Formats: sequence, structure tokens, C-alpha cells
Amino acid sequence: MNSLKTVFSEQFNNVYMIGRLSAYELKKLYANSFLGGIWIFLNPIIQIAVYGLTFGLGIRGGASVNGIPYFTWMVCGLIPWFFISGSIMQGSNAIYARINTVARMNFPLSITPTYVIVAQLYTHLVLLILLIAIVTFTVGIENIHLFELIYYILSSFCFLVALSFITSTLSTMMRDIHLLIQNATRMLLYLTPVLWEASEKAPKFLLDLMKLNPFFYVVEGYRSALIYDNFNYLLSPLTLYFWGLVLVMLVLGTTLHVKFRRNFVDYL
Amino acid sequence: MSTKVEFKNVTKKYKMYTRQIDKIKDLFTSKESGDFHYALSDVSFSVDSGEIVGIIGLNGSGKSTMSNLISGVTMPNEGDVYVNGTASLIAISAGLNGQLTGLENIELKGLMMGLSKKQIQEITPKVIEFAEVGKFINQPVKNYSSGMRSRLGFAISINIDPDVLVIDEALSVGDPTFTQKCLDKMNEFKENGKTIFFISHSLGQVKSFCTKAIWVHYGKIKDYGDVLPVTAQYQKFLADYQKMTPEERIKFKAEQLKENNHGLLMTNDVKTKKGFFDIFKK
Repeated sequence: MNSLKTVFSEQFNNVYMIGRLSAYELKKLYANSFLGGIWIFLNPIIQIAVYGLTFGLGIRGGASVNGIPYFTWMVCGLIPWFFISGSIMQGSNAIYARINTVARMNFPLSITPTYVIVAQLYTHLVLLILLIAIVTFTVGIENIHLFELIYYILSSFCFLVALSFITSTLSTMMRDIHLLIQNATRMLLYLTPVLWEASEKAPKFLLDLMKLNPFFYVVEGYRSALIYDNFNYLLSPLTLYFWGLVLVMLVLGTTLHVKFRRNFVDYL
Repeated sequence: MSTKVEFKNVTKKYKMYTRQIDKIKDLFTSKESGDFHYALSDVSFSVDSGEIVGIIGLNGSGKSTMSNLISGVTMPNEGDVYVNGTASLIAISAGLNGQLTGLENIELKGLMMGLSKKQIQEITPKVIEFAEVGKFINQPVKNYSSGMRSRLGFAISINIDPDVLVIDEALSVGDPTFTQKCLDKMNEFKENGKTIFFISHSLGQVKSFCTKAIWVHYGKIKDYGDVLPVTAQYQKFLADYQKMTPEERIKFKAEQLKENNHGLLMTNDVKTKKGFFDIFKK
């Protein structure tokens, strides 16, 4: 619990630094490309097109989901998924990839996972504008709930920060963990109802098992904020489970981080 | 004069792993057993403000470990390192990002050193002036020559104005005019009561502007005091060592091993266990 306090105070004392460093993260990413920031859109659009064709037209034959066009329904899951998968992969590498620059000075190391995720959040917010535009043009604006949307953005952000405290520490000490996480993330796309619908017709135990995946909550949350008029989702017990998990992971992650951070350089 | 940096019985040891899996085992078990390399063993000294301390010694004797400990990059396993104020380490190309331009690197490094927006704006023109990279300031650092990179790194670190400055071989790639400029700047530093640690193999530079010297020898301090006597001792040792025949050197190392538990002195007699990939070997 003490480490939680240490880490939190480091975050709040360095808010300006987090902002600037995350901006540099984005700059670094696109510094060498001709198209620069256009890649923020280009990469997701290509993926959306491919998934839309293969899953929407190919597998489902253009059938809609609960009266909502498959394409719109899929994009509502896919854009949060880009945020999730990008953050998991970058977050896991957050400390390892930067240890040579950050360890050489009196630097509050615990802001590293945070600013890496914040950089991902910027991209996500830009894509959200695209997402809202797609939803507006295809199914209309009446089911977009801004308050709910902000809530789900925040909850996925909190979860990803908590997760990357654990993964960044572990994968600095053992590179295998990072490789494992990369592979697991790719698989996770198919275990989360991003491209397929978690139908209520499925066996109940299977559905319950699926719901233990915290990204189930987030992805379905985005959908309920954007295309379904389903405020009850927020009030379901899943919300309690999700935040309980965030809290447990934060305690675990910050404890690990504070325990091992003095020795990160020695593990390289 | 007040004490600026103090080492109290500092030991820094690294475990020598033969297999990756042992690293993982150590996360869960006690780390006390096994094969250790003592980069520094039981080192104590203290340095007052306004001193320029040259750190000299053979390769692998623990100079860089000492600089890392002073600048807070690593932590000692035993003992305490006490630094009064902020310490900044200048090593060749440390902390510069190749993808970003010189200007962006100034801001980034300033941020990481905990400077405010205003302070960064203040130092930026000074850094540009000192680094003398001309038009390259708006080019990515990866396109810099090694001399330019070291100049920029030095210019940033020195303008951030730390209380303790650690210079690890960083001047070895600069040309004589730039080295002179750095030395002048460091003298200015000294007059402001800052402390500088200067790690170099150039005994000439050490003699010409350090006030004290530490001679590190296989993880221990062999001599610490005013610069001239210490460097003279070291030079005498180097001359003697170079005169030795190979047999004498082996004997000398064996004698040293009795005193120091140092990895460089030991021969590798660990039996290699059969790994998975050995089945492909004949």
C-alpha cells in the first residue's frame, strides 16, 4: 500500500512531465515517416477494411448484429481494441526500451508506464472522432452517450496503466514475458467480442467465463455508450468486478515496480 | 568546506550467471550464494565541494561502476552512497535520442532532469551556443558525428547546472579545442563550489586540472589524495606492469586474487552444463 502512495504522488508531482514526454513519444513514432501523423489513421483504416471484408462480408455474409450494421458494430469494438492492444504491447516494453535514457538521472521512473499509455490515449482520442463520425452517419446520433463514453475511456485507461505497471516490471527482468505478452495479445483479439458477437444464446458458463476477461467489459461498454441505449450495463456487477480487478492490479503492479526498480539497470 | 559526496563501505557486486534460468530462480530465492564479481568492495571516501576528482585505474577496475553509483544509476548492495544535491552523468552519447532533433533532445533531457518549462527555455540558447553544431541543431541526432553528439551531450549536462558532475570518458572523442572549452567550463564550475568527478585514461588531462585523484584497483581504492602523488604512483605501477613478462603478470594476478575477489582475476573453471541447444553440436 505504501508503494501505491509513492507511485501516486510521483504521478501527481510530474503531470507536466507526463504530458510533454508522451507528446515526444508520438513524435518519435512518426519522426521518420513521410506521411507522419497520417499513419494514425492509415494503419487502423487498413485493418478495419480487412476485418470488415473478411468477417462482415465473408463470414457473416453482411448480416447485421441486433439490428445494427455489422460494420458499425465491429468498428465500435475495433477502435477501442487498437487502444488496448497498442497499450499492452507498448506498456510491457515501457521500461525496458527506455532504461538507458531514464536511468541515467534522477528520474521518477514510475511515470514511464503512464506516459507511454497517455501517448496511446492521444491516438485513441483522435480515432474516436472518426468512430463517432462513422456511428453518426450509419446509425444516427441518438444513442451516443458522451458521459458513458468518457467513463469507458477512463476505465480502460486505468486498467491499462495498472496492467503495464505489472508487465513493464516483469518484462524488464525477463524478456520472455514480453514475447509472451505480445503473442497473448494477438490471441486476445479473438477471445474478446471484438469481431464476433457474445450472443446470449451461447452456453451460460461459457459466456460467464468470457466476461471474466476485463476487456469484455470495456469493449461492450464502448458499444453500449455508442450504439445501444443500455445504461444498465454500467450498473451491472461487472463494473464492480472490473474496478476490483483494477485495484488489485494497481497494488500488485506498484509493489512490484517499487520493489525492483532500484535494480532494473542490473537486470539488463 | 562541506562534504559533497561520501561513500561509506560501499560494495557493488554482480552475480555471474552461467544460464538464463538462474536469473529467474534468483528472483524467488536468496541471492547470497553463487559466483560473484565484486565491482567495488568495501569502498569508503569523501569528497568536499569545489574539488575536481580524477578517477583513474585499469580497464574494468570499477571506475564506471563508481560513476554510476554517484549519479544514482545503480544502487550499492552494501553500504551507503551519500550525495548532497543533484548529480548528472555525462558519458558518450548518454541519454540522447537518435530519432529526435538536437533541439528536441535539449527539451527532452531537460524534462528528464526535472527542469521546468521556463528553465528549459533559459538554457536552450546557451546549450546551442556551447555545442557548436550549427544548422544540425534541427537535424535528427542520429545524423551527428560522434564528436557533435558528445558536444551536445556535454553542453546539455553542463547547462543543467547540477551540483555534482560525473564525466565518464566523454571528452575522449572531442577535438583539442572543444576539450579546452570543456575544461574552461569545468573550472568555472569548480569556482562555484561544485564537485566534478572526471574519469579518464588521459593522465595528462587528469594532472592538468584535477585537484584530487582516486586510483581504483580491482574494486578497491589503492590510493586517494592530492592529484600529483596519486598519478605518480599510478604511472609507476603502469610502467612496472608493462615491463613484466607474461609469466610475471600471471603471478602478479594470482597474488592480487588473494586480496581481491574480483571477476577479472579469476579464470573460468566452471564446468558448462549441457544446454538444450547442445544437441545440435557435434
